[in-house]
Amino acid sequence: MLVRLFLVFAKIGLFAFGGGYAMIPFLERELVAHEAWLSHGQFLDMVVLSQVTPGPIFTSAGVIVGFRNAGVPGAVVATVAVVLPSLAIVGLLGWTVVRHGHLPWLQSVFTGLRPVVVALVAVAAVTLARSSVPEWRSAGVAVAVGLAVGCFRVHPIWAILGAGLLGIIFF
Amino acid sequence: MNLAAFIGYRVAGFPGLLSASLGTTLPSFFVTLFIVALVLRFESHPVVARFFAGVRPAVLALIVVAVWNLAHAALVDKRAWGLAAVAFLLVLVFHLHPGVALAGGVVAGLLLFRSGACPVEPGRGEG
Repeated sequence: MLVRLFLVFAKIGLFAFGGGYAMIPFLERELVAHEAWLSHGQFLDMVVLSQVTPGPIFTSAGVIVGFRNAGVPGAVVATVAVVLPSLAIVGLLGWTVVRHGHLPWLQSVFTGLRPVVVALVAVAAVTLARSSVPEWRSAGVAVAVGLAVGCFRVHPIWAILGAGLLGIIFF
Repeated sequence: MNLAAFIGYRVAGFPGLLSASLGTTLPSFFVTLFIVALVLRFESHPVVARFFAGVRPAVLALIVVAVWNLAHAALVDKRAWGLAAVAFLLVLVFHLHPGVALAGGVVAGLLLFRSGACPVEPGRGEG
């Protein structure tokens, strides 16, 4: 189990470009479709949990999935595995940038990656929309939070706590 | 985290890289582990269940807002729009692996957005 956790999360870490929400389709593919470590509902709750815990989504995913499947050792193994590849990549890039100065091709790579990251975040929104808005009260919460954060610049963490409070009162 | 690792590397080489990453990862690791253990323990409690029912649509809204903000920053011209549309369709409809899509973005960036390879608007595209 620990070896499997390490391999899967090292693979996730290798593709941890764009961090955050762009990782959701990738995580969904690996953790729900391939490994069946989480159901769709548990995956959704993992995304929710990763929003109320510090750190990027893939380290939260490591802690959550690792802990569920193999306790504290599982959480440690999955987190180390997910962080290692990006450390290696940053080390390599850092070494190259420091040695050779600015890299024009790196700029091109990032310009090409950005639209793909946007597309992946959009895919995440479509995938999660199916399970996270089962009825009109949920739709109301979604619209309220969207307006609060998008138009009135409310900090996301307050929006999340507010939505949780609405859930406790009305659901 | 990657930013911290990079700064660590610039300041003190590989030991700097390691300590900067440990420094940024460890506290959030312990806090996350604590919260996760707590939530899993009280998962079936009705108040926790209702809290989650409220937060689920909120997270969806946050992601939609993120798409909106990212699109403004990343979709700077027709090529970028096209690339995003193709990637979106391939992953959502044809179930292309997201990792393959990202690799495709790297290749497309090198081919499409290379300085001088295509006519670029003044002040943009020059690395």
